[in-house]
Amino acid sequence: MDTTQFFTVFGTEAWLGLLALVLITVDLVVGRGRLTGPSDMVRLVAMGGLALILLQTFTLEPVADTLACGTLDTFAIFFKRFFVATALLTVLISAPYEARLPAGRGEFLAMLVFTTMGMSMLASVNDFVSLFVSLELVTVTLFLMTAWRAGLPRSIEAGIKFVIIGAVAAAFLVYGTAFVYGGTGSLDFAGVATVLQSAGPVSATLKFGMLLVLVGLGFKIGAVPFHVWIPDVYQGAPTPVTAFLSVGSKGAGVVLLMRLVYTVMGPAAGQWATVLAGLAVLTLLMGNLGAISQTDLKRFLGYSGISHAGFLLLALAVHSEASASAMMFYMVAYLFTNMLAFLVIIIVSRTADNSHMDRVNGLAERSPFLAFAMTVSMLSLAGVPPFSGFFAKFMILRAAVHDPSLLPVVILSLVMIVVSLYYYLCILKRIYFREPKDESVLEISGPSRLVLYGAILVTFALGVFMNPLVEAANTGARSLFE
Amino acid sequence: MLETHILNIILLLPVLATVVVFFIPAERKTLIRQLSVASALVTVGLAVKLFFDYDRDLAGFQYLFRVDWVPSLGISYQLGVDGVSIAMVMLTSIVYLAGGLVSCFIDDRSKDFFILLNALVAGVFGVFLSLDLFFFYFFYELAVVPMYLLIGYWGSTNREYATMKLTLYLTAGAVVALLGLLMLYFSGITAEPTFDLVAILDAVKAGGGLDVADQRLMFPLLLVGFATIAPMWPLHTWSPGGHAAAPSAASMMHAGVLMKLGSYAIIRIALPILPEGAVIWLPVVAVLCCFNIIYGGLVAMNQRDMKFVIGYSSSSHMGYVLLGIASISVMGLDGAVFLMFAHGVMTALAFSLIGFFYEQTHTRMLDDLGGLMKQIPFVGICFMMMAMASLGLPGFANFAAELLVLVGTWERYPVAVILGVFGLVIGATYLLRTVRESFLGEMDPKWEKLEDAKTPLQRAPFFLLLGVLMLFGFYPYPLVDLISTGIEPLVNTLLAAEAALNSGM
Repeated sequence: MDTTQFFTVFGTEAWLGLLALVLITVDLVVGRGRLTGPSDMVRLVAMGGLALILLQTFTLEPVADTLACGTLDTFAIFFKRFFVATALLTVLISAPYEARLPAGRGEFLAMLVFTTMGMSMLASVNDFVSLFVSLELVTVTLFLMTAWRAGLPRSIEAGIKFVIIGAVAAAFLVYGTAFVYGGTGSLDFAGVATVLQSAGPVSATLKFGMLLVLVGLGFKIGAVPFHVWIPDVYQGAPTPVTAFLSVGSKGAGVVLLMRLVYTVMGPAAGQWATVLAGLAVLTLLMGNLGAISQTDLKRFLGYSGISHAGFLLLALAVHSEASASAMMFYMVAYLFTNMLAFLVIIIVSRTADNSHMDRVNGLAERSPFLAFAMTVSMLSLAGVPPFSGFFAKFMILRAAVHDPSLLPVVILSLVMIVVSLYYYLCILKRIYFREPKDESVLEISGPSRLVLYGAILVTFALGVFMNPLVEAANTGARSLFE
Repeated sequence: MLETHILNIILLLPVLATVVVFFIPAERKTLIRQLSVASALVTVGLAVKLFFDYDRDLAGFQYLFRVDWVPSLGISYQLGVDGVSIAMVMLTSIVYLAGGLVSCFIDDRSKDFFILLNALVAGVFGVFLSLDLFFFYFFYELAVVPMYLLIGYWGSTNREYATMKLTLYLTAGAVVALLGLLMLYFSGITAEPTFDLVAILDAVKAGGGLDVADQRLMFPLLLVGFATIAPMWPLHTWSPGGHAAAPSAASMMHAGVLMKLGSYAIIRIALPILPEGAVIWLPVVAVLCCFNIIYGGLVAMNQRDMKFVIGYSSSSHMGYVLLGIASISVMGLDGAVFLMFAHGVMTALAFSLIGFFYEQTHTRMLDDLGGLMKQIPFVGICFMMMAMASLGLPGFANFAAELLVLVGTWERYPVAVILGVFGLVIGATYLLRTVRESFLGEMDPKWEKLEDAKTPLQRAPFFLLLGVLMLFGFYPYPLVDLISTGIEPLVNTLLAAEAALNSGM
C-alpha cells in the first residue's frame, strides 16, 4: 500500500491515534500515583488536540478516485468533522462529571479518542474487512467506557449487555459479509456494487448477506431488532459516555448505512426500500411508545434516540440525494441538541448521582438558565421551530413525501411526531409546573455555561439560518451518488 | 427604509422583544413590561399605517420582501400583505397591546411570561405576513408551542390537562396540514418544487392548476389541518378547556388571534391554490359549521363557568366565519374576515374583563357571582357592552360582520342562514343570562372588597378594545373595503372553478 496515499485518506485518524498516545503519556507524567484529584492537564491536552484535529479536517480536500485503502469524498470529510466535533463536545461536557469517574481519567479520554479514530475510519472505509475492523475498534472501546465505573453494578450491567448484544450484531455482520463474499467473490465495495447493480437477477445468497449486514449495522443506530441494549446501556453508562454513544455510535451506523445503501446498492436499493421502511415503522413505534412511560432521564433519551433512528431509517428508505442530505443535517442537529440535554442531566444529577426524572422537577425555580437549556433541547428533539430539530425532521419528511409508495410510513411518522411531543412536553411539565425535589444550589462552572450557551446558540442557528449546513450536506450527499 | 421594511419591522419587533427580555434580569419587571408594551404599541402604529397606505386600487400582495433562504429546497423568506392580512395584522397588534397591558399586573415570573407572550406574537405575525409555505408552517408551529407553558404555568382550572390537550390537538392538526403542504409542493404546479406562495399562485392563475382528482384529495388534508385550529366542529374540543384554563393575556391571544390562523390559512392557501377542491368540499364545511353554531351555542348555554361560556361561544362564532367562507360570495367572505377581526377584539375584551375580576374573586362560577355591578361598575358596564357586541347588537363591529355573512350566504345555503339566525338567538340567551347572573341581582357580601378598574393603565385595554369595536361598528366601510380587495379575486377564482366543474359534468 502506498504510504502517502494512506496518509492522505487517513491523516485525521493518524493524528487521533497520536493524540490518544500523547494523552496516556501525559497522564503518566502528570497524574502518576493519584487515584482521584484534578486531571485538568490531560483534559486540556485532549481538548486542544481535538480542536486542532477538527481544524485539520477542514483542510481536507476530496480525492476524486477511490483509492485502494479508502475513500475520501466530501461525504467522508463531512462525517470525519462530525465525529471529531462529537468527541470534542463530549470532552467539554464531561468536565463536570469527572469527579465521579474513578481513577484512570487519562485512559478514559484516550479511549474516547481511540473510539473517535475508529468512527472516523468508518467514514472512509471501502471494503468489508476494514469496515469490520474499524467497527470493532469503536465497539470495544465504547464497551470499556460504558463499564468504566466498575464500582457501580449498573455500569457493569450496562457494559455486559452492550458487549453481548454487540457481539450478536457483530456475528450478523460477519455472517452477512461471508454471504456477500460468497455471492460476489469480492469484499471491496466497488466489486460488490458492480454485482448488485448489474442488470441480471441478484442471487439469493447475496440478498441474504446484505440483509444480515444491514440488520447488524442497525445495532449501531438502535434500530429494531437490535434496539434492546439502548435503554439499559444509556441508563447504566457514565453520562458523558451515554452522550457520546447516543451521537457518535449512531453516526457510525448512519455513515455506513448511507454508504452501503446509497453507493453500494445504488439504484438497486429500490428493492430494499420495503425492508428499510418496515424497519423504520417498527423502530418508530418502539422508540416513541417506549419513551412515554419512562421515569429515568437517560433511559428516556435512549428511547427518544430509538425514535430518531426510526426517522433516519425512513430517510434511508428514500433513494435520493435529498434524503441523504436530510440525514446528514439530522445528525448534526441531533449532535448539538443531544449534547445540550446530556450536559444539563450531568449538572442536575450531580448531587444524587442518579438521573431519575424528578431531578429536573422545578428546575425553572432552581436555575432558570438550565431550565431554558433543557427546554430548548426537548423542543428541538420534538421538532418544534425555531430549533434545528424542526428543520431536520422537515427535510426528512420533505424527502420522504416525494416517494408516494412511502406515504403510509410518512403518515405514521407524522403521528409519532405528535406522540413524541407529548413525552417531551412531560419533561417541560416537570421543569416548570412541579415543585423541586431537591433545593440544593446548582453550580454551573464557567466553561459549562459557555458550552451550554454555545449549544443553545447552534440549536437556534441551525433552525433558522440553515442554509450553510444544508449546502454542506447537499455537497456531501452528491458525492455519494457519483 | 420604513416603506420597504415595514413588514420586517412588524415581524421582528416581537422577536427582538423576546430576545431583549431574555437578557434583562428578572427583577427589573417594570422595564420588561414597558419594553413589551412599547413593542406592541409600535406594531399597532405600523399596522394602522399599513391600513392607510395600502393601495386599494392596485390590490394584490404589496410591500413584498423576498430573500432566498434555502434555495436548494425552494424555500424563501418572503413577506407581503393584501387586504385580508392587513386586517389580521391589525387585529394581532391590537390584541398584543391589550394583552401586554393586562399582563402588567402579572407578578409571578413575569419575565418568562413576557418572553413567551412576545414569542407567541412573533409566530402569529409570521403566519399573517409570510408568503412562503415553509415559513408559514414554521411560524404556525412557533405560535402553538409557547401556549403550552403560558397555560400550564399561569393558568387556572384543570390547566395541565387543558394545555396538553390543546398543544397536542393543534400539533396533530398542523402535521396533517404539513402533509398537505408537502404534497402541494411536489404536485408539479410549478416546474421546480417551491414553497413560494406567490410563484404557486401565479402558476395556478396561468392555468397550471392541479387536476380535479388531485385537488379533491389534497383539499381535505389542508382543510382538516387548518380547521382544527379554526376550530371546526367536531375538532373544537381543545378550545373551551384551553381558553378557560389560560391566563387572561393567553386566552386573549388564543381566542382572539390564534383561532383565526385556521380560517386565515384556509383563505390564504387552500382556497386559491385548490379552487376546484374547495368547491367540492365547501358544502361539507357549510354543514359542519351549522353544528358549530347551534351545538356550540347550546353547550355554552349550559356552562356555569364564565370562561367556558365565552369559550363555547367562540366556537359558535367561528361557525359563522366558516359559513362565510363556505358561501363563496364576496359578501360572505368579506363578512367572514371582518368577523374574524371583530370577534378577535370582542373575545379579547371578554377574557380580559373576566380575568380582571377573577384575580380578586378567584371564581368564575356564575353560582358564586351576582350583583357585581354595584362593586365594580366600570368592569360591569364594559362586560355588558361586550355581551351586546357578542350577541350582535347594531353599533358594534360584530353586527356588521354577522349580517354580511348571513346575507352573503342566503343565496347558497338558506337553511344554514336560518340556523345561523337561530344561533344568534341562542347567543343572546346565554350572554344575557351570564350578564344577569354575574353582574346584576343580589350581591354576595363577600364581594364587598372587590376593586374596580380605577387607574388609567387598568382601564386602557378595555377602552382600546371597546373603542375599536365601536369604531368599526359605526363605520365598517374602510375595513370591509380593504378586505374586499383581497376577497374579490379569490371569489372570482372560486366561481370560475365552480363554473368549470359544472360544465365538465
